[in-house]
Amino acid sequence: MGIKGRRVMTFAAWVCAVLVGASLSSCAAPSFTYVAVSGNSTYFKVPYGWKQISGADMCTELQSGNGQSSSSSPSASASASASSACPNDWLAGYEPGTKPSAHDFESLSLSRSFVFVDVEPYTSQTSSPPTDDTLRDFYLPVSSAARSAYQAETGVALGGFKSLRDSALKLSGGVHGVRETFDYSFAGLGVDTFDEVILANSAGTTVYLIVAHCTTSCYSQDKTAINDVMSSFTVRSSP
Amino acid sequence: MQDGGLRRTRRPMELWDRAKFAMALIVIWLILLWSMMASNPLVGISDAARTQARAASWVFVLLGLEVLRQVHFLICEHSAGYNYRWNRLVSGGVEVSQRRMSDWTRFRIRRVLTWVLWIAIIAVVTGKIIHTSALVATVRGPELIWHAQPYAFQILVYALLIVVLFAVLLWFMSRGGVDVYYPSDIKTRFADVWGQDHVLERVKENLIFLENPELVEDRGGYVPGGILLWGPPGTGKTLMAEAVAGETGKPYVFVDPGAFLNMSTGVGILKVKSLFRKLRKMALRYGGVIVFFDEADSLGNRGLAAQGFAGPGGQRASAISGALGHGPGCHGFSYLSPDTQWRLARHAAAGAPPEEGTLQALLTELSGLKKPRGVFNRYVRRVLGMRQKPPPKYRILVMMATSMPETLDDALLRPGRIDRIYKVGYPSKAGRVRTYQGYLSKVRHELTGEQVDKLAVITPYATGATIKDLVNEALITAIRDGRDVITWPDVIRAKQLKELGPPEDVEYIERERHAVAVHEACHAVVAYRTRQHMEIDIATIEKGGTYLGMVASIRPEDQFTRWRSEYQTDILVSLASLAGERMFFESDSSSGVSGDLEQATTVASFMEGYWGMGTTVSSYSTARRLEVGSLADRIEDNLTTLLSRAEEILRSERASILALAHALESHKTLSGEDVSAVLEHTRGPLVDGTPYADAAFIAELEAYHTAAARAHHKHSQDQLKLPVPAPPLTTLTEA
Repeated sequence: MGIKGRRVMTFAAWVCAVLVGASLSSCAAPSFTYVAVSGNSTYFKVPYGWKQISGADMCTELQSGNGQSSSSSPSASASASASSACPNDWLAGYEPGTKPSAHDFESLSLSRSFVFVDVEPYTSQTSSPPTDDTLRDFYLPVSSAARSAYQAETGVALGGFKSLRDSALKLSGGVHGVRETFDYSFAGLGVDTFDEVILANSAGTTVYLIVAHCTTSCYSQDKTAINDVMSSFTVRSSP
Repeated sequence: MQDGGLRRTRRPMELWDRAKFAMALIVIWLILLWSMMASNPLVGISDAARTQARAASWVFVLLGLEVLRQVHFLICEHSAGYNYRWNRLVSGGVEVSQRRMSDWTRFRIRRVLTWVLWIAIIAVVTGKIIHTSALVATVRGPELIWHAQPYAFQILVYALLIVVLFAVLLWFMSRGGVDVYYPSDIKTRFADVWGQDHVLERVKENLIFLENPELVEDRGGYVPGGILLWGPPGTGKTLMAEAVAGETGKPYVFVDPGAFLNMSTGVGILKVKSLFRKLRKMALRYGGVIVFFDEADSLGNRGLAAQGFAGPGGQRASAISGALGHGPGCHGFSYLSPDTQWRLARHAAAGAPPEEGTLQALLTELSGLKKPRGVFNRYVRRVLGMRQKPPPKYRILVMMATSMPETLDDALLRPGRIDRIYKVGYPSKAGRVRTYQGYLSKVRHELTGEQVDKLAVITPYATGATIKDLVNEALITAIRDGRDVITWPDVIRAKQLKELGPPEDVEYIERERHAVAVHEACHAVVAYRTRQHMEIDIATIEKGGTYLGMVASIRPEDQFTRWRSEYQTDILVSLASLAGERMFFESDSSSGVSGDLEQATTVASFMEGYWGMGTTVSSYSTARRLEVGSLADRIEDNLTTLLSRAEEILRSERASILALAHALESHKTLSGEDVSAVLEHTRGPLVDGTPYADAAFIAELEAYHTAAARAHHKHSQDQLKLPVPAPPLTTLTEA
């Protein structure tokens, strides 16, 4: 075999090695599904196999208000308030299993994890940018003051609140917010664990929200996966 | 694997061709990976690879198909049987469709499809990157790229537009004249080149060195980089170059003779530089490239000043002498002094208009300094204080062809640029036979082997082109007669037509016809009786464009030296017309002898002044340089002596001359065999020469001549009756 022949064989071996390597490494399924909300510079990942529920379906569900929970539940009212400007939002839900349902968006005591992400413009009567305290109570009343105010306003007592995590987040480009993990129990519906990350951009014009919730036992079971999802929630510097 | 020049396996692909599509697909896949990772900071390479393996599975499908294709090619390259079956059974339909479509149309379609394919791939990849459809990406892609640039860059681009306009203008002006052929584009093979075997072997040798440079380089030598093929037009130089293109596994670049002519200032240089940049690129990519400059004399000559005034014995003289292939003692330029060679070469060089700058650029590109390649190598290594890697070996075989080697620039012919100079001369007899056989095999004919051999003998200076033309003319002659099979008379008629041109169909008045016949008969008789080194090919009194009649002779065998006795007989044959006219027309003679005298004087001058074949031995070139001696008297003396000898011969051959003149007047054109039949009183193909043995008939011819001579002197309009020989006795008896 001449020099040329050896070169050809070497090259062929390299190509085969690359092909075999690429094929083997690509055979397995990826660990996560990566989601980029490019316009809002928002990124997160969900375990591979979780199915997406489109924003349109969730909006429809939200507007019809026919969830399992009563309209007086904090989840329903919070969802409604968080997504009051649904058409301007980027909204999507994620759920494990083969039959994801937008109906679970407003449901409580879910036996499987439900994650939804909402990016919406922030509007405030005071026209001041949201602080971490404001963000903490953005979705559900978490602080004692907010819970009291809620009870005074609606007459509904929120029981079984238990804070599991309360940490402030500082991201690059002035993005800030909080991560909250807490339990709520609703009458006749058992105890639900909520895990949420709520961020605002430096200008205070946009709020980025990711919420995971299900029953406490379900949360304990999916804790690692939910934690991966929540900790992946990233917002890049945005005006 | 080759058998008799016919490759049975597929020609091995170059590494680049083998890998380019696989590499392109891998690059596309990597771009998609990069795109995914760049568009989402959370994505790691492992998940990106896994995700893209699903999202862009079409890349893997195409990659698999490409691997299959390469395996197929690899088998075709090594298995003659598989290759044969594939070509015959599988791709037979493709070949049929190729025959239905012209090469040019196929080329255009292929180019359009290539463009469409690449645009589609780029659109798909861009679409993936910007998360849109491929169609939208084709529109939005350029826009995004443009807007992604800094403003300063955009301003710079606007400024560069002006430069680009000029560049485009120059590019348009420098286009054309250079065609690239890839292996299998050209169907001509070495087997199609006939009659030039000796040169062909040498050219093949160069090709072997180009394909396997290690053969010579491992032993400390270097691969010859340039070949000059020179010789008369039509001898097959370009055909040979075409065959090289057909046989080689390297790309073949054909440079048109007019590629560098009439260039405005700078464009020629630009064109040369662009050509060689292209050649270097191809040489690296394909492991070698062949460039062929047809009619290389069009490249010009820088003239005398640039030759360095080498003077007598200088480089110029030796280069030309070498180029013309004359060693010491051989016939040709070698009889001239170096000074005369130089002066002649200067005159020749003066005829070629120099192309300002283009030739210099070509010379520089052929053997100038080569820059190291690559941005990293040229700049980064230098900045880091590292030694630059030397430029790679560009395997470029330069082939040139010309019919005027003396007009080429000296610098072009020096070793290192043009290492090998081969004369593609007139084919030898064996070569002509082979060429005739080749072209005759393409038509229907009834020629025997002996006749083909004879044809090769009677066409001593035939080239491939003239032989092809002759066979074609013979075919046309046969078709005109309502046949599609070429016969011997067709070939002879075609030969006469080609050599003499179409007759003017002018009827002489009788006395002039007789005078012309006597003139040509004198030439023919002296040639027949004295010139043993040549045979009469044809004798005619049919008026052509520039002559009234002629006697053409040929050499029956290839001969490379000439002797004094031969030149003397040549002069005798030339002078026979003057001697004959004086003898037959009572010291009168016509202006028709002017050409004969010119020829006789030229030969006599060379014999006397240069070849040492006269009464003295001194060289006229030296005598002229030293301004001593005179040549004219010596030449005149020689010619007078030879004229007397011609007169003696003619006096003794009076009857033969009248007989031959009669045959010419009767038939107008005679072949060499007919001339022989008349003079030997035998039967020829056209003329029966036996009646000329009859003394009574000769007396009739004498009387006829006397009447014609009388009419000539009186300019009378008397009708002369050409004597007709009595029918042979046997014929009478039969009647």
